[in-house]
Amino acid sequence: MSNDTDIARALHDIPAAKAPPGEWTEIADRAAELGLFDAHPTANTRRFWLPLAAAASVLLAVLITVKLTPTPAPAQPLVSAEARAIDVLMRQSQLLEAWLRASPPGPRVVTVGTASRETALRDRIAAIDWELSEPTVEHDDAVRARLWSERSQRMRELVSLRYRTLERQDI
Amino acid sequence: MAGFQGKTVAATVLRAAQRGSRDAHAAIYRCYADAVYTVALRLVVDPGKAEDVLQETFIEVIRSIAAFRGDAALGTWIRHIAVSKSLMLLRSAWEHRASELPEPELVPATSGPESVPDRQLTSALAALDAASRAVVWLFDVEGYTHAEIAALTGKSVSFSKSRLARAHAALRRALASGDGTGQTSSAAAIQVT
Repeated sequence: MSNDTDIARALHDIPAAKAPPGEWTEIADRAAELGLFDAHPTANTRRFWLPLAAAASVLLAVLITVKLTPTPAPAQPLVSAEARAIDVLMRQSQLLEAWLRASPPGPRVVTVGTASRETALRDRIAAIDWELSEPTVEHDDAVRARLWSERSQRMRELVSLRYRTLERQDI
Repeated sequence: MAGFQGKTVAATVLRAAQRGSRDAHAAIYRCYADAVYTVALRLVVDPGKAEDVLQETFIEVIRSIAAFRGDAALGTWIRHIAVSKSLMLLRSAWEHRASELPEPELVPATSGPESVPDRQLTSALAALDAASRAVVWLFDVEGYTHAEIAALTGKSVSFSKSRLARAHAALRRALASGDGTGQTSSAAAIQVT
């Protein structure tokens, strides 16, 4: 029997790890906020306090602005559909960043999971920015569109995370 | 496919989950959470990041399960999501920081009732570079082929094979230098060439 086979067997025999307790509650709450479950109202309604209400109204304004971003006027030079999509995604990303800068600061103490998730999101956004700065990407609209789409998605997740953190702080 | 083998949920639970039932998704989570966390922990090492992968995986499961057609087993599909999320995390780390910082020394979380040789093996696994660790776990434990690993990582088949060989050599060296317990186990039985 080869050594590689012994190693493979030994790795296979390592006992499985146990998922940390309490994770399902966080996952389910997050999925509910994203509207991923069926539309049955949850029993736990939450009250929003003034700082959170202010942040919520600003976020609503940002999202409405993002939704109502006008398409380019006919007088503008012809651009590809991907280039137009990139412009929209860049604007979304900038608006979401503006909301983060303007939102109330989060609590000094957060859970390890929340801190890790925020770090992972920020790392991924930084990696995307790095890719966007690559010379080979600069003239490739298809790649830029994909990257800006993901950046916008990660920014939305970061905003959602901050919002939920503020919400817990105010409860 | 390691921890995903032998795990299944009833067809009624799957259909309920596809209709958006929170309870059905809870049942799916209970069935596969440990397997997802295990593969994430083995790939990304850091328990905090493994938790992130766990959450992101099941958010994706909840989001996408309506489109799941049953071409593969549910566990296979969930495992693929977990592996993809883990590799995405590793890719941003090893591409973004490779030239700036050395990989941090990470202390892997204990998996529970591990023997001393198993702890040595998990430590040796955690000490591998991210790419080698991913390849050796996906190939030896999760049963991926080199072609599948190449497709997942965006690398070539030859890259996967060379990383596997490198990982095996590194694991043998690490186990040889750390093994002194005299205990009989599959890990301790590995001969050093």
